[in-house]
Amino acid sequence: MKINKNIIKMGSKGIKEEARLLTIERIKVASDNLKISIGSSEYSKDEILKTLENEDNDFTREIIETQLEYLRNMASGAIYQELE
Amino acid sequence: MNSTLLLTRPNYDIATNYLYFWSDDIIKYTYGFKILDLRGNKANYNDFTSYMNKHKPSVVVFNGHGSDKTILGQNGEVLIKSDVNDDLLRGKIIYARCCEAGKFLGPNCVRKGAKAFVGYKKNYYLAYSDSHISRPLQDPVAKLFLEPSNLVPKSILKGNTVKLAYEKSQKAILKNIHFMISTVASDDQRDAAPYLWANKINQILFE
Repeated sequence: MKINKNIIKMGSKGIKEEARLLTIERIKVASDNLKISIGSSEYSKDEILKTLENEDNDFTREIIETQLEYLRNMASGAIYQELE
Repeated sequence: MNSTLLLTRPNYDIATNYLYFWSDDIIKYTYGFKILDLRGNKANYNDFTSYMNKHKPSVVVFNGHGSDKTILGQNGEVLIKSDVNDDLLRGKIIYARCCEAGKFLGPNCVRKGAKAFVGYKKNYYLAYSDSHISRPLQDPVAKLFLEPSNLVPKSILKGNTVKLAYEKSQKAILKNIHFMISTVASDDQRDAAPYLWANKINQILFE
C-alpha cells in the first residue's frame, strides 16, 4: 500500500489550517447583508472574517466546523438525497 | 391531558426580538388549548414558577438563550436549571428553542419523568437580513429558520405526536435548504444555508 508522505507530514495541523482558509474564502464571498446570531452574540460578515483571520477559539472552530459539515453533506449528496 | 401550553418569550436583544415576534405564529391557532403567554418582562423566574405550579401546563415552549444546563428568560434570568428546579417539567412536553439545552438538560428532564423534549444539542443559529432588523416578520432569511422551528409546537397544538411534530420540522428545514440552494434564492438566503443545516443536525428529540 502506498502512503502519501505529504499527508503524513501535513498532519492534523495542516488540515486544520486548510479548513480555516477554505472557510475564510467562503465567508469572503458571502452577502454583506447577512448576519448570524449565535448564542447571545450577533456577527456580521466582517466580524466573522476578522475573528477567523486573527484568532483560534471556540467561535472560529464552530464556524469552520459548520461550513465543513455543510460541504461534506453537499459532497456526499446527503442534502440532496434527503430532499428527494 | 391538561390542554394548556405555556410559552416564554423574552425580548431584550436582537435574537430574542426575532423569537418574540415569530412566536405569534405558534399561538395564532390554539386548537382548544389554553395559552399562557409569558412575554417580555413576564418571562422571569417568579412568574414562570408560579404559572407552572398553578396551571400545570401539559406543553411548555421556551424561547431565548440557554446552555447545556439552563434555559433563560428576560435579561438572561434563569428559568430552569438542571437538577435545581427541572422537576417543574416532570410529565410535560417541552420544546426549547435555545442553545444547547438538548445536550444535557433535555435528556436529563426526560430521564426524570418529562414526557418528551425537543431542543438543540449545540448552538441554535438564527440568520437574518441586516436590512430587515426592524421588521423581523418581513425578514426573508429569518423566515427560513423560524417557520420550520415553529412547526414543532404548532404540530403539537394540532394534536400530532411529538415524534411527528419533530419529523415535520426536520422535513420543513430540508425543504427550506432545498429552496436556499436553488437559483431563486437571494444571496443572503443561499449563504445562510450552512447554519440552517447545522440546526437540522442539532435539533433532537428525547421521549
